[in-house]
Amino acid sequence: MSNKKIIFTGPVGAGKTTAIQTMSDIPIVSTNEEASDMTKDRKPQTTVAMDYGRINIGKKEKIHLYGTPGQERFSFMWDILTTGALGLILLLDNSRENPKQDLKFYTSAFKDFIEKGDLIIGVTRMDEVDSPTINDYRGWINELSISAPVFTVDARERQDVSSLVQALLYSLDPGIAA
Amino acid sequence: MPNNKKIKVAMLEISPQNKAILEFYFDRAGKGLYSIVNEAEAEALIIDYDQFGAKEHVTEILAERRLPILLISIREQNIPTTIWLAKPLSADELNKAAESVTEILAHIEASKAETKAKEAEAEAEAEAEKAKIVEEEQQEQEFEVLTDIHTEEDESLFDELNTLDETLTEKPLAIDEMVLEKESNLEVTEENNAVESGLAIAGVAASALATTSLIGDDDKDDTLELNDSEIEDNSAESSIDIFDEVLEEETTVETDEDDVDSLLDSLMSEQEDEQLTEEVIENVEEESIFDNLLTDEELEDISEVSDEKITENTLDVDVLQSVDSELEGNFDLQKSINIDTEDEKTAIVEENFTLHHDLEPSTEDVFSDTLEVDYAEVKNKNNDSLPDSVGLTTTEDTEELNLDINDSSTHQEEDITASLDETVDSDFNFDFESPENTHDDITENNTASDLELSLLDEAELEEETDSVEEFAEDDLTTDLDSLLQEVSGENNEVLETSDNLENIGFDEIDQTIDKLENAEFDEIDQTSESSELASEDADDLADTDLQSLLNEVREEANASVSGGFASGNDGENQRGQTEAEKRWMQLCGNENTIKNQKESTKITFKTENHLLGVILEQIKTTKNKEQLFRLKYQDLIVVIDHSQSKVYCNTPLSSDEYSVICHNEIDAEKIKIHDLDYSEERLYRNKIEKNPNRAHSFESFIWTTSLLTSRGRLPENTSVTKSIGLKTWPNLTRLELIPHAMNIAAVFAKNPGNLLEIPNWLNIQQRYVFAFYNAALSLEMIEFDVKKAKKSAFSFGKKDSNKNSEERGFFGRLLKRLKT
Repeated sequence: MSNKKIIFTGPVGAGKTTAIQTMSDIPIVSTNEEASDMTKDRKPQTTVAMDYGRINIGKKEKIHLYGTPGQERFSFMWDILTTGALGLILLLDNSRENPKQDLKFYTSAFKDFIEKGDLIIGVTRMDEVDSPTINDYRGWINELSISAPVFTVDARERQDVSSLVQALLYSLDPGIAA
Repeated sequence: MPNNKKIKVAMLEISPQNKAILEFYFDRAGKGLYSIVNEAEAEALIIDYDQFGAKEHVTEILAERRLPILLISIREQNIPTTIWLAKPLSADELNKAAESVTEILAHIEASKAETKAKEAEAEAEAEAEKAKIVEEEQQEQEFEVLTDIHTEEDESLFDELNTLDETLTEKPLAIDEMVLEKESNLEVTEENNAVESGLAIAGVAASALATTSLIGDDDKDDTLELNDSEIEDNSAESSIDIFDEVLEEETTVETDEDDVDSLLDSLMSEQEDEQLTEEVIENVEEESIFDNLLTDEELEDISEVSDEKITENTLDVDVLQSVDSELEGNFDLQKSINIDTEDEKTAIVEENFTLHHDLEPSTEDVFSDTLEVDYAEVKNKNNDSLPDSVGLTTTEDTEELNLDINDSSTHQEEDITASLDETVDSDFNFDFESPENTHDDITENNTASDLELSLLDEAELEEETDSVEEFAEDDLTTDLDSLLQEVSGENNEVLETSDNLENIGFDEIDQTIDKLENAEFDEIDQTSESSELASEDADDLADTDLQSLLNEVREEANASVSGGFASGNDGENQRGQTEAEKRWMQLCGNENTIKNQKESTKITFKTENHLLGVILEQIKTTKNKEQLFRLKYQDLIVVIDHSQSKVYCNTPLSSDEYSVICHNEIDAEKIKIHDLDYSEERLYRNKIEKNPNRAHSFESFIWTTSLLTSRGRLPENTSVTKSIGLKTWPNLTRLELIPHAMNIAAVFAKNPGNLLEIPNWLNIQQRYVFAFYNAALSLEMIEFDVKKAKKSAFSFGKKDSNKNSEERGFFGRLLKRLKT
């Protein structure tokens, strides 16, 4: 029996909690709190410690889904959560002012993990804001010398979030179906 | 600084999140307090102290400039000239920070003014001292010049004295001659005595000069000694040699008694002058340099007088005394002046040193004192006014979770980390593979923990506990048995579904079932066989597991592509699956497998002869143009909009018509291309608004068009034996999926291989790989330099370890779960 975990990270409001909620077989355990800072201008509640969800595989096996707090002040949680994780799913919000900076920040913050593990990038709210484009993200990733697939996703759509997880699994083991 | 003046701030090294917060604040609440400027114009800086490299930057800034810095950090910072802003930022805190910044700026201005004044004062003093030094140096130089003059004068006096000595030595001889010639004259004796007396005086003078010269000049001393000896020698020996000449001279000299008296008077007068000169010299020692100069003038006058007298009275013996005295006085004066000058020099140097020494610490004292005093005050004020660093409000939901964020926010970070670590270890059971995590351990941890953070409810905990217990008892056989049971159950479901569909009697569904029976039941049979084998031979369990997993994954991949109609239990789902099959046929074709490069020519096509080639060429040639271009072929209209990276197509891409147009070669002469004018552009915009589904992203349009064009074939001149990789993954969540697309993309990206290898590695039909390749090639995503590809640890062809097999089995089951 195996139990693994996948980490969802990204800036505030990128859809980490929603993505876990979409995939989880159990009601997610969230540490959402009323935002007292200016984060509340983007959303009324924010994750302060972590989000937890789970995908059950049969009766015995399960994959744990953890969402990191988006705010940097809880960055000390990031290392704790990523320890032993299968991979990292970075969600970026295309409607934020500087998604490129977000990408740089989070790839830098999780640099050690990315070097060892795999990274999948999902860009949310591309239907709301069509610039930057998916090609822009690819260019930025190339600039950062990172190899990672970039997908347009809607964190509310199970198929989209599932594709992120599938891409992660295939990236970890391209011969998974062989 | 006036209160109504905005603080010019510059944001440096701010994280995107905080930047967004700050910019929002500056636009709203902080609009009247701050104005954003660049770093060069800034009166204050805002720096995220937690950013990489920020600490070094702050240190540099503080070393170079005196600017108040607002440090944003999760930890309290006590750095002079900075104001700590705790994360998360709040408007109140920023407002208070503005007051602090204003105070700091005022202090800085005041201290700057004070420093400037002190600097100016110090500068003025330094200038005065400098002027004084210059003056002293000038005076010294003047003295040196004067000393040189006196030395020269002394030398000339020595020469003259020597001449006099010689003359005087000769004089007695001449007198003796006169005595011999005039023996009858009684007064000759007196005269002779007088002359002898004069000679004695001259000898004393010469001795005095010699003594003086010892003090002033050693060379002269030698000269004088020589002169003395010469005088003595001359008086005895040289009288004959010079006799005639002296005699001639003496004829002009008065030799009577009156003359001798006048000489004595003159000598007395010179002695008085000598005394006067000595008095003047004594006075000089106590007077200033200028006074000394005046004394020198006097001395010069005296010297001139003496010179004149010496010149006038060449034979005047008395003059010698006065000259000697003057010389002695001059040397004393020079010595005194030299001594004074050296003392003054030393004094001046010491004074300068003291001056500079005083200046430096005074500046430092001013600066450091100011900073310490200013910022200590401000810091105290800040500390008093700093709000709660987190300030989150606990809600009812939080109460259920027993997570008191307000409490946790006041903890130190280490406490929080430790708490969460403990919580994670105890409650979340991160190390689920550890057999040590028994039910008792978890329960004990859960109950013993004083932490309020408990993210799992009791039911969750029990479930976790159950799974841990099961894990403790679990073995691979049980795992595979259950898996096989699941697979068998699903196979039965498929068979039942087929029976149900047959009973419905739809012809279309019958055909579909036939297809399913032909295409898929083989795999199902294989699965059943595998299941049977697995139950018979426990040693082959792992292989059987993988084989069954492969079949499951294939089924699920097909199901996911067809939009989630995986295990359809009704006719509608079955129709969907049929449509999906039909669509896959349109996208990937049904070409036979090829074995080598030669055979590949049977399944090639020329891209330029298809609509795809025309569109790709048109997109490429109009890449940097703002206009919209319309491409018309028969009834098909395609509008290329580079400004939006969109393509409008009047025919649905999923339609059979479009599929046929793409697949068949086109007549290039029937293609009409032109750029849209204003009215046409408006019409196009209207059409997009009405039919947004007709607008596609470049990537999506080219992807589908490429698939429809190739239908599992390869572009002409494609090497099937050359390894290729993938530059970037296609945006598969927004593209029309084909079976195994995700898996193919991963292999191309992580484990480059050639077009013959990859289908074998993945155990899938070549057409899916060829279709993917052609689409990715059209999107310029194929990497022909495989060295650039970031390979994964996985490698095809190598026997996997048990751990990898187990992990792969887990991944496979997870994939299956995801696709259902």
